[in-house]
Amino acid sequence: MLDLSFLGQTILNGLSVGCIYGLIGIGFCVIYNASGIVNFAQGAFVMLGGMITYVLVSLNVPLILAAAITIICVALVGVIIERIVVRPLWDRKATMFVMILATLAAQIVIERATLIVVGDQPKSLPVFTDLPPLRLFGIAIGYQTLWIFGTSIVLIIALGLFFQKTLVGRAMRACAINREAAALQGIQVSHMLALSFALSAGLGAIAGILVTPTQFTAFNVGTPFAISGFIAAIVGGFGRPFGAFLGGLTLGLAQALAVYSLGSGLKNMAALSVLLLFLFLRPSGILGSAK
Amino acid sequence: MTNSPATISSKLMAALRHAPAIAAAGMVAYAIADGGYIVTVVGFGLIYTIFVAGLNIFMGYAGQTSFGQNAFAAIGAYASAVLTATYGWPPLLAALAGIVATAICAFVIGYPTLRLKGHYLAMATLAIGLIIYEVAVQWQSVTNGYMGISGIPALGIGHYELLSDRAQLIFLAIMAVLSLAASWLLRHSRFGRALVALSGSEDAARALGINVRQYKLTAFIISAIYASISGTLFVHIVGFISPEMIGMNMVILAFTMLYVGGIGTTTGPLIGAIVIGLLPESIRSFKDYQDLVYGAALILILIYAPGGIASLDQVVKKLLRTKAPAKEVAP
Amino acid sequence: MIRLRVEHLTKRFGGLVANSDVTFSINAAGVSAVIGPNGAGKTTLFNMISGFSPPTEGRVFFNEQEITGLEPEEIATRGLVRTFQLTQLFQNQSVLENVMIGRHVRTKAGVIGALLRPRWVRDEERQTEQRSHELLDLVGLGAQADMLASTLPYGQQRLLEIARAMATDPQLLMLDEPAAGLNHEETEKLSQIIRRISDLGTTVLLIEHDMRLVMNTADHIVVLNFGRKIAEGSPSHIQADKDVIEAYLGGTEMLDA
Repeated sequence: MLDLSFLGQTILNGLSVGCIYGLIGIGFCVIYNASGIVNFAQGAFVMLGGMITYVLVSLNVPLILAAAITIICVALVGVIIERIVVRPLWDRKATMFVMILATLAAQIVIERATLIVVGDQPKSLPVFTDLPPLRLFGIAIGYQTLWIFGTSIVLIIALGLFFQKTLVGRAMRACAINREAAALQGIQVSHMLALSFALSAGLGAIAGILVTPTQFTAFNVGTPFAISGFIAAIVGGFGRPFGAFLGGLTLGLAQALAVYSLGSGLKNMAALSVLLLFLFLRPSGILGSAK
Repeated sequence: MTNSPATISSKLMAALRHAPAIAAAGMVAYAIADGGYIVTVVGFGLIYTIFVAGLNIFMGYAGQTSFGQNAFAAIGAYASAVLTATYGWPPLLAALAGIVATAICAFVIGYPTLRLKGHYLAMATLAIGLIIYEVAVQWQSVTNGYMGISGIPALGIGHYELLSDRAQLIFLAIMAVLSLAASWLLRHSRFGRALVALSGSEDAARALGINVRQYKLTAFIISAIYASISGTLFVHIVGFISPEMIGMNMVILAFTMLYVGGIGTTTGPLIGAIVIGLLPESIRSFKDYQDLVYGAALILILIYAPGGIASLDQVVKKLLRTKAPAKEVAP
Repeated sequence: MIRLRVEHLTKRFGGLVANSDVTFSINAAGVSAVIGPNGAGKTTLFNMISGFSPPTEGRVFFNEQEITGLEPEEIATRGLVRTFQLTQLFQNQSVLENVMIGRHVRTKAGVIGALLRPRWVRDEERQTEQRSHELLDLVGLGAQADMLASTLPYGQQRLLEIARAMATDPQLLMLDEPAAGLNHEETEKLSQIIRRISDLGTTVLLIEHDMRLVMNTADHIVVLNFGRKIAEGSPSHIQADKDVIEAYLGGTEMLDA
């Protein structure tokens, strides 16, 4: 009975971190749909989200305000990367490989700059609601977990409405379906590119802020998160934001179960194995590729 | 006709094309003659020359993508380290075992991976590099985890050991020259032509009867063997290996060198590795900023000079060409 | 002797039928052509024959041996080589090297040979280069051997692609719209080159839009419309065929001719 509740706990934790992966995965999809680019700097947004919030909170800025400022800052970083790194290559019609390499290099630059500014010690954030966890059938449900679930659901609904109802959101979807046709209809494809980076960076930042109280953040957490987000996007069928979220939940669950049965040292290995398994056996994901 | 400006400038161009490679070779010769601290730096550059030359065969010639070649350097490095330091094998035998192990791993990994395309291939190879890193960290009983393995003997056969810095550097220089020569021979052969063909257009290559899959895999394995050799040399020269030495930063560094030197050219890896290898010496307290600068440099090169230093003559040519018509127009 | 025979070839992409029940055969001697209005399924037919896109139904025989479903590289090795509608040259290589790449299937050296360069490999390299020069002369590009392929004018790029395909010593050369984008003079020259290739013993099958080229060059014509064969025969026979005239009525192709 005790073991069963431990399993339940594991599943809950897996789903909670899965939400984070899902949000990062959506970030991948948003940029990919707008531009066909896979942004390997995605992990930097997550790391910056946790890190900037930490710095602000340690300067006695209230958490909510710190989070809001951070999201805006990171979205700005997204736009800056788009302007400085991606746009010149995009204009030159650089190959996909060069684009990946450049965004990966951007990730390293951000990572190392962070290392220089804040050092290599792991940082953490206080939980948003400092109350003892709820207990349900012997499973402890921390308030941070509820924050993660709640925020994820709100974000997904908001994104759904954004893409369905607003003019800008529809324009982005049009770009995803056919960029040339979208351009002919007077949609500024280049604006969409910048917007997609801002949106995706903002999502990454939120994921980073949500997850940091449950673990920690350090200059080098970006790459593992980016990989996990990418796996989420692949598992969901690349280019499907909702699929990516489901993919994130799947991955979080698989990872938690692997750790539960094999030990925590294998957390990253488990994720990477899931990635390779999907790439080799079913690269179009659970729901099938969007394109 | 022989004195026409066109002929002179074309001769100049030819000289210019080889200038960076000659300068890099000169740097190596200087280090061998000087024997001072510069030996370490140039030695490091020569080891990377081999790694990048391998990367160049797979990416420059065959036009493929791998972000995980550090995995094969790691296999070579750890095979040499474990077999010599832990089990007392002679370095040469350990190196050969490492190469064989690498080739087998490259085949097993490459067979399913190289069927992927685009960002799937990029991410799969990245994952392979990360998995090897995780293995190096987690497989404590063999790799000693984060602590790494020390006490790795110097290179040598039987009783002859390469102990002096200068002897080591000469040996590294010979190895680097051999690997560049092999790269040149491969490029200028039926094999190399098949690689540039599949790089140019897989459909066209297949229509001409080239087994694209087989050639990609062969190039991948050759590239891995180069990486393995560089890994082996590295541990014997430094005498130490830890997971941090074979992480993602190694990949970014190698790409920076490849692009600085000029991707797809035979001597590009040497040029890039020497230039980037010397960079830390020209900037004080560079260590902290090293990866930052490499990353930023890579971005700048990708944007502004995708051909690298080896294609400097092309850049000059382009500049001259844009100026030339203006002269003709002038009365 | 029959060089190529296709039986009941059908290709469906989901609900779309690109080719339906196409049957014909090509003699070893002479130049044959597949013509038809845009969207008649000509390129799909080529892709099925050359192995790039296996047929949904039907069979392909090359020299009376079945090659249905084989990989393109295997089909090319057997001596059936195609070019592409949009030229697929190796742009960053020299003109000569493009043709040398074409010698791949008729040469043997591997990695070890490349590294050790024994005598036979050096001989093979020399022969490869020599044969490539000959082929460049055949298509009239002998003087451009050292130029980068990308710097050739469009018309010459098309000729280079033919030379490269010929470097495989094919028994059947399939050309996908070789005259597309060529002017009158270039088309004339192309026609002569195709005739010469045919005279040298290689069977030629072309897909073409340009009626002038087809009528001047081909001995045997297969006409497709909406993925089906609607006529087959000699140029004069085809020009008089009612179905063919109807299929082309209002199209620009006939007006061009």
